[in-house]
Amino acid sequence: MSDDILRELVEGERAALDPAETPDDAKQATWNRVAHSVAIGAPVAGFGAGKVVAAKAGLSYGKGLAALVFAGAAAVGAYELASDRDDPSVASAPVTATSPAASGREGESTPARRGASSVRDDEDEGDAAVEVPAPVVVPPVTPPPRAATARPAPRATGRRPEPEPTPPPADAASALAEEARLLADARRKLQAGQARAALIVLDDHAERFAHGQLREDRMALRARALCRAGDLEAGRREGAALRKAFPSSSHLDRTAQACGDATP
Amino acid sequence: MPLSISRGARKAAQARLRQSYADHYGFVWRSLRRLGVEEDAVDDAVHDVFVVAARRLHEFEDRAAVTSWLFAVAIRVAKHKRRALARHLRRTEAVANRAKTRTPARDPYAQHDAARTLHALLQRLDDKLRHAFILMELEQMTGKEAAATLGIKVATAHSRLRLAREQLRAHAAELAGQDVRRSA
Repeated sequence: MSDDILRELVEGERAALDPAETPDDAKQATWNRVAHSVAIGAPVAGFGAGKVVAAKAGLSYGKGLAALVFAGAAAVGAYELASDRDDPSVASAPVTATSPAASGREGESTPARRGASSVRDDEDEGDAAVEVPAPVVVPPVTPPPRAATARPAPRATGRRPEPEPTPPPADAASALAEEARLLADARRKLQAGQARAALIVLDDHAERFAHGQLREDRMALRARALCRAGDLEAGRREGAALRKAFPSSSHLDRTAQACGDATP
Repeated sequence: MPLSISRGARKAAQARLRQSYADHYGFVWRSLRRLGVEEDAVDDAVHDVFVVAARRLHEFEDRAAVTSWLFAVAIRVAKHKRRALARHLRRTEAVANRAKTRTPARDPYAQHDAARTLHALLQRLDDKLRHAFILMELEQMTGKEAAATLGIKVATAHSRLRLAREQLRAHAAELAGQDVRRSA
């Protein structure tokens, strides 16, 4: 009996986490943020203070894991992507700085530096706290969702990364990043079962980016959110509008499915 | 060192990070969920994993080493993020009881419930057992692959998987028992 329960749970779980279910645009949006954070050497919450200890690739438990602390490195922002530093040791060698003095030795872990972080302090949703990943964007990982319009990334120059990220240029790249942020937020809410909240975000997107680069994605999400929220008629209408505007959209199946049209 | 070389190194590092992201995004995403990160926090957690992992990614040559490194970082990130999960556990268990009345094989809602239930049950396991179960049962790695990822012996990986299954069955049966009592 309990055997069957476990097997069913495992099968159900694996189906639920099927990689095919991961939307490409979510993957791309996260990648844009990753590339930006790495480029500016942004610290990661929970990996910010204390010491940097080299960990071996293999896991060890207890001490080993506890030692996987990467503190200063983030603040030091020493990663090659961001800097033109000549000395590769900080980026490539196991760093063993252990004292606050050590991590602050180049003056990077100042409040100003932390303020420059693009990584929010996580924990709760706090929409306002979600950073705008802005424009270091980066060749797409998955089929290119129009990221080709992104400008070349502003880069830190000199021997050390700048303590502040370059302010985002008000151009297509930052607009795209903002669009992606809004849609990722809407998608998260939809996945969390908060269809109404997702619709509010989508309305915001529609207002600010009526003809935005991610309009297709917005329409698809909106159709799904409407149907999930129980407004099947409006959802199908939005789905039809999507089909009309983007006849070959890859979102059509999913949208139809969410509105119950795919079931026989 | 001339600037151009440094730029070249930077480009190579970025290309490598991008490739790792493309190759391992799914693995990291699933692992984080299984390690207890809630669905609405998982994108942020994926971001954190790759940003942290990027710092040493270039040290790892083969795919297995990269997987291992990413999993190690994911464990850390998940520890930080999943404090939120504890708050939801009671609700999750309520959902859990529903899962058993459906058939996860077909029904997407039941699959979702099954995932939540299993993830809640996984949080009751000891770290070592949980990690073995995630890699071998859910990721379907071989004993050898899981052992390499976790830095343990193959026999140890198998015995951890066995123990994990036993404990999960016991927990699942317990839940089922509660359900029976409730509906009686």
